[in-house]
Amino acid sequence: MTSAQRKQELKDLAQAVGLAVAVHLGFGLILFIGAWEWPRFDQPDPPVRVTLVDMGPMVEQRRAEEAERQAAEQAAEEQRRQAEQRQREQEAERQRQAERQREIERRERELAERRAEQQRQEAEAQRQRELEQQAQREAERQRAEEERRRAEEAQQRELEELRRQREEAQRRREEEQRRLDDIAQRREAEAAERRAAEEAERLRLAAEQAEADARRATLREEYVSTIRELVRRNWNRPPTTRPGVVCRVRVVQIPGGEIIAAEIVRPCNADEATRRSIVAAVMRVGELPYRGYESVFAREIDFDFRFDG
Amino acid sequence: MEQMGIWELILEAGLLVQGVMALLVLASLASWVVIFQKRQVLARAEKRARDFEEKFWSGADLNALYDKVAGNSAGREGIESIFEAGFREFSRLREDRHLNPDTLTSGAQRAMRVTLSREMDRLEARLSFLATVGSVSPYVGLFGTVWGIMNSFRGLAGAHTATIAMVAPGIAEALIATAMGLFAAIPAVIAFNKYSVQVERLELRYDNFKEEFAGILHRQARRLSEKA
Repeated sequence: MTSAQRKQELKDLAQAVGLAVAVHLGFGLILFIGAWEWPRFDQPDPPVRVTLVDMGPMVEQRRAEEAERQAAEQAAEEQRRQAEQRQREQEAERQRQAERQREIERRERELAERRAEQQRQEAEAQRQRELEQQAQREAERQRAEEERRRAEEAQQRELEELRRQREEAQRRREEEQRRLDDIAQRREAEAAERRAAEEAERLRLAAEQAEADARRATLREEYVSTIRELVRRNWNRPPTTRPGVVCRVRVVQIPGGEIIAAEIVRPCNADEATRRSIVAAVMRVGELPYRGYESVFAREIDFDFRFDG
Repeated sequence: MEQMGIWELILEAGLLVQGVMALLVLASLASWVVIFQKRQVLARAEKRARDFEEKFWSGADLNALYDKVAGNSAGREGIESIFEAGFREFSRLREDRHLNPDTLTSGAQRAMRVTLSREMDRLEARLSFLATVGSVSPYVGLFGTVWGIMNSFRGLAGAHTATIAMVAPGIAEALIATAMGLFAAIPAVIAFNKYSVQVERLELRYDNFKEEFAGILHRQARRLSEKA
């Protein structure tokens, strides 16, 4: 076994394993989907569980609860007392804070008076500054006017430039379009030409094929008629043969032209002796022509044997 | 409430029943592997036989055909190797001028017979595995089922009030084993029958070719000895 064969075998094995696994997965999936809707299986619910409880310990429990309630009341009383104490302390604290508040207010008033004096002085200075600013604004307005005029001129120039560019682009686009159209037309023409050439080629091939077929057919006819002639030449006519015999003969040959079998097939209107004589004639031929007929060679050849008297 | 899906049934089965199921799944997998492998091998053998016979009977030169077959590095198979063996033996014996035509032919025929039986052996390989799986796996599955049912009835013995609900899950679990056995067996049997017929037909074809080729060689040998 060669290594190529072994490799082939391994590949086959891998493929087979993959297919087998796939089959099983598919079947498992079908099974799983089929079993999806299975009704659930009911099992009897577990019996109800009941626990009996002894009532003896209940009395003691009630006594303990009473003691607990008393303790809670005492605790509440204590809390109330503590709350009153806290309230008194808070009152004293509030008075102290009011005292401090009054002191703070007094200081704020003094501060406000000083601030008013300062504001008056600042207002004077402000008036001075406003006068100066007015003069400045006048100068600025004039400058702005100048600038606006210059900007307008620049804008005008820019617009001019833009218009020129647009026109340029338009021209370029048109040119491009014309070029593309040209190319498309040329391509179409080429395609048409190619189609025509292909069609012509196809016709030519078909014609050649037909010619070859015809040649083959005539060669085959010639082959069969040669065989028929050979058989007729080797035929010894039995005395019982009537004119008008037509028999189909099948000859089996091997490469090289050697005849290995011959038999009469239907239709055949000859009697037994004639049939035997025809088969004997074919066997006597022994070897059929082979050279020059290789292309129409066939293992089995049927032909009609005729005798018209 | 208890879930009764396939998967739960398998998982809750007894250990021995689970073992039987695993065995059956493995058998099924292996038999499918063999099925796919054989299918490919047989299809290829048939195609090659068809192609070769067509070439052989189209009147090609036998020497050229032999060179082509013998030089095929991808390996010869079936009908090609029969032809190659016969022709090689014939050419080898022909060197000896004193041999008579019958000896020449019978030597070639012997070589072809050996090759034929080797090819048949190759084609039939592992078909017996399919036959085994096909005939045995239902019994294996049945064994698992019987065992599982036995166990669920044994559990019933200790109960005071026996209901069908106590044994039903156990029986359902056990029955899966039988289902698996059948699942493994059915494809194996089908494939075995199909491939057996296919192998038989191939053998007939090879045998016919062998006889016919021997006939041709015999004629050739006679002609050679007449010339000598």
